[in-house]
Amino acid sequence: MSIMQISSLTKKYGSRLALNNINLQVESGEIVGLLGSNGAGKTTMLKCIMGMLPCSFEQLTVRGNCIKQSFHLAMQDIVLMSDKNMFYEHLSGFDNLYFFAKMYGKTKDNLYKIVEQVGLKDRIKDKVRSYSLGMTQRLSLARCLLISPKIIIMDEPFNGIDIVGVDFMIKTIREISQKDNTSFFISSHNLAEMQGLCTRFVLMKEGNIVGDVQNTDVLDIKSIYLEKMG
Amino acid sequence: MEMQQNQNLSTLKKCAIVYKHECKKFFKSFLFWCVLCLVVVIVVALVFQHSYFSRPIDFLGDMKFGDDWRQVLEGMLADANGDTKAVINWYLDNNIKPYSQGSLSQYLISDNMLIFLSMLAFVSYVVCNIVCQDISKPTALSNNSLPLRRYQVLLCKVAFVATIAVGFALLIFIVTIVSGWLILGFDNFSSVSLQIQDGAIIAMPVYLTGLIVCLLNCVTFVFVGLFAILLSTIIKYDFPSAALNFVLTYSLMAVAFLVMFVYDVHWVEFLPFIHVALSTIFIDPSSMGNRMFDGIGFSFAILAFWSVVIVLLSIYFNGVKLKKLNSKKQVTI
Repeated sequence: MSIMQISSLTKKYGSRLALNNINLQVESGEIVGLLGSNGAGKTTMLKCIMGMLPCSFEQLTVRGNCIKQSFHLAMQDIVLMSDKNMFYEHLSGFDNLYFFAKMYGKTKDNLYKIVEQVGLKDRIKDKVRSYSLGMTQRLSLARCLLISPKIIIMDEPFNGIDIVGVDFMIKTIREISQKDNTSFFISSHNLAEMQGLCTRFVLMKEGNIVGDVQNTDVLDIKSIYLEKMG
Repeated sequence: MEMQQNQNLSTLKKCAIVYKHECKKFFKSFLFWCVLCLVVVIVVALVFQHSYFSRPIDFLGDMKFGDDWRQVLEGMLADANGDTKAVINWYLDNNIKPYSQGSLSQYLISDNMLIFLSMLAFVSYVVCNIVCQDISKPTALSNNSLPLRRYQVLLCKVAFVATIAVGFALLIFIVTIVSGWLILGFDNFSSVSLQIQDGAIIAMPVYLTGLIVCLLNCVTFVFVGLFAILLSTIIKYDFPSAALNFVLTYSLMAVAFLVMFVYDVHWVEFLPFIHVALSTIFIDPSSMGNRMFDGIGFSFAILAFWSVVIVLLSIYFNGVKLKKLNSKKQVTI
């Protein structure tokens, strides 16, 4: 089942074409890696999907809800997680999350389950300012999971995180995807980690999709990437 | 199921959650404790200073009333006229000693301008800090993912600012009463303050007058708080916004008064800033409260109208700011 469908997505910054006629669909439970060099249009694409940048398209739907006509319905199923810390640092991780939990009608039990899932159980009562970058990322993931989305968009989720943190994130993402059938659409430069995580790769260059390949045990994404980008 | 849970929450309930979150953010911040300590220190220090070092000034002249207060008043009666005469007669008829200069009573209802100004500065800074914190850091963008519209989130902030304003005014009143009680004893609250309405004298216990001043200050603080929201939404930095808010509030008020009196231009009465200095216009013992009823055409309606305008402008600029943030920075839920 297709969770997200994009057809003819185009974005211009003045006369410069940032996204050129993008067509893409993400299936339920898929972990799609969005790869591309700096300035390829990855972040622009994520922002357009989230309705944060004006753009033109024929179709841009999340579970059949158009992000233009049915924005609020669409946003119930899709969420964007960034590497920026958007938490109130003088509050605890719990306080930050509980606010969102209440807004989405979730109980404390729901919240604790998610906190356990992302491995923050022991530190959730600590202030966010005492968290490492990896922990902040896990907290962001927990906040995303609170709204039980069908697809989670991640922009550079492994930036600045140590190898143990990256490993934990990969395991958690896989677990969530398998358990809840949640799809992930992840933009990253980190080919090695993406190789071990994604089920499919979309390669972007200068606003165009130049490759769309399923991941297999024998696939060497680095060589494909270099070939397409070269 | 989860979507159903979400839909079950009414917009009002969601707004209440945002409001509570704003309160929690503030009460758990370092700023809150700093401001609380400063308020207490300033108010207590001023009560102390006022009680022991103030120059004799009283609304019935520069004199102190001792045990011979009746003779003093009777002596004044010969030269008095109009409202002053009525007030003196009221004291004599009711055998109540007027409050004296330097007493906490006088302080409560007239000489708290210093506290008022410092608290106004605090309210400005607190509001600007809260709003700017959300705008200058990406936390404002997390509001994008809330199941509420942006203007509803901003209105929750407005409600929070009103709470802060009322809280500040009540805090000042309570700290003044408690510190006055501790420093001077409770006898200081036994006197009355008089207001004259249509020739009739209305006597109010002085702590009640103090409470009215406090409530009037609430209105001022709320208005100044709203103006602070608008400025900080536009300027984005807390200290400059707070400073500008403070300076603009008072300079515009002074300019408006100047224009009105010097050039006899009366449309300026419809501008908000004239109506901000409520307590000094309402209750001023030097005019025995007359300005409450026949002074500058003070109007809650004008202040309310401008408050709505300011909130609408804040919503507009907040939207513009968030759009800019969206296009510049990386965003999350």
